[in-house]
Amino acid sequence: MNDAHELRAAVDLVGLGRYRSDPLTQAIQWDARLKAMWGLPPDAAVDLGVFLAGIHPEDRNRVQAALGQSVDPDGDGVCDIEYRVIGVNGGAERWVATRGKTVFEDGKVVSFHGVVLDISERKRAEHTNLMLIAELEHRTRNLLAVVDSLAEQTLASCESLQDFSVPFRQRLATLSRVQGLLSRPETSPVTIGEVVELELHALGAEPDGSRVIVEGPEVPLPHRSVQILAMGLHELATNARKYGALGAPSGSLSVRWHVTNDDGPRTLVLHWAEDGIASRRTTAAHPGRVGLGRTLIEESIPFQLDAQTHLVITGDSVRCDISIVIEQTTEPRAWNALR
Amino acid sequence: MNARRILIIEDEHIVAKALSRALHETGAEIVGMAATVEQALKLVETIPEFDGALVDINLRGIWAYSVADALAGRGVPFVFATGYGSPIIPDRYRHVPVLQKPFEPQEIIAALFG
Repeated sequence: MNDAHELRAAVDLVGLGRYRSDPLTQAIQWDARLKAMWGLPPDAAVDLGVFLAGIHPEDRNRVQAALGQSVDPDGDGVCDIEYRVIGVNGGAERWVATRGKTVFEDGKVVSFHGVVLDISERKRAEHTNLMLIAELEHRTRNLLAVVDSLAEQTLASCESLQDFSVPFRQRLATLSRVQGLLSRPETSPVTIGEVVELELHALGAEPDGSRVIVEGPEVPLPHRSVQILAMGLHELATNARKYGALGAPSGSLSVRWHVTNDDGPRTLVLHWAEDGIASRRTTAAHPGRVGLGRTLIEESIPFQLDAQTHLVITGDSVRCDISIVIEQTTEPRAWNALR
Repeated sequence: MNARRILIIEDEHIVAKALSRALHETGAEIVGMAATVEQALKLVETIPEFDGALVDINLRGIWAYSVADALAGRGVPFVFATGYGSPIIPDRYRHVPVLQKPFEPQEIIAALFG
């Protein structure tokens, strides 16, 4: 075994650039890998000016301060710093980490040498993490604001406090279910079918091809439409359970959708239809007040999405049509804009 | 004293609606609600007179600073509402009050009119 050989191989495997400087002659020696990080050819001459010119202007003072400290005979002689390199041509920006060591003799600097590692990948990952955390905080706080408002609005539409608990907790459960869908990666978008089945399933209604029909193509939904759509569908489903097709033996429910671009932008059109519920509605229908469910469908969905909704409740049927423009599938995500 | 006329710029409808209700109960008048930067700019331009605005800084994934600039241009005071930590707000708006979600509707009045 040859130690020098192994050391050399290790340096190459890690990708370390090496430097050495002589304080007396001011000579600076860099290896080819380090020169490449500064955008220099292997045979280029290096001096202090070249070194500094390749450092990001915002980081230059910090680097010089760290170097200054490392030649202080009262210190430990170590220079340990991460900074940005733009190269002598100001081209690509990369992050590097360097560790250098000053050697003193009788309190005098005799040499300074060290290594440099390109850490751009790690910095990118760290940055992505920070953005994700910021986005998570954003989402959490927004969700709390929604829950807060939901409590207010549910309370406002209740006759008494006793009426509050069940609808509020069901709405909370809807929000909770939908968070599971929303945390999936962008590469597997949530489809309308998933949201419909999730909300029906939560009320114990499974598509059986006769009393409960769910039919439509796989259509990915814009990310920000998922939550409000789930909330709207929950209101329809829970009403169907209480007053409509999901609670009446003779009742039937169909949820069908398709995609059209006849009249312009690509649009998802969903039809919710309940029939055969005459006996239920006459005994249980709400007396004339506009519930939060109706508000969510008739006001919230059109306000938040490029959408139109149309809800008609008659003596023995319920019809709800929802059209949503889904053309823009690559919507901006807030944290992308943060970069 | 006349009712304070307030514009609400917030893309979660249920939040905007609950705020409207609460502000209305304090005697304020809601002159409009907008969910997008485009809608908000149009309202800022066309509403004849109003006294203040609440601006969610992120509307459907778009930063709402152009709305802030339009409000400043009209000399209408405004507050930001956000779910993000405040460091993301650009320096030039450091004088603008920031309400971290969720917040009490009364905080809007306090932040706008002291």
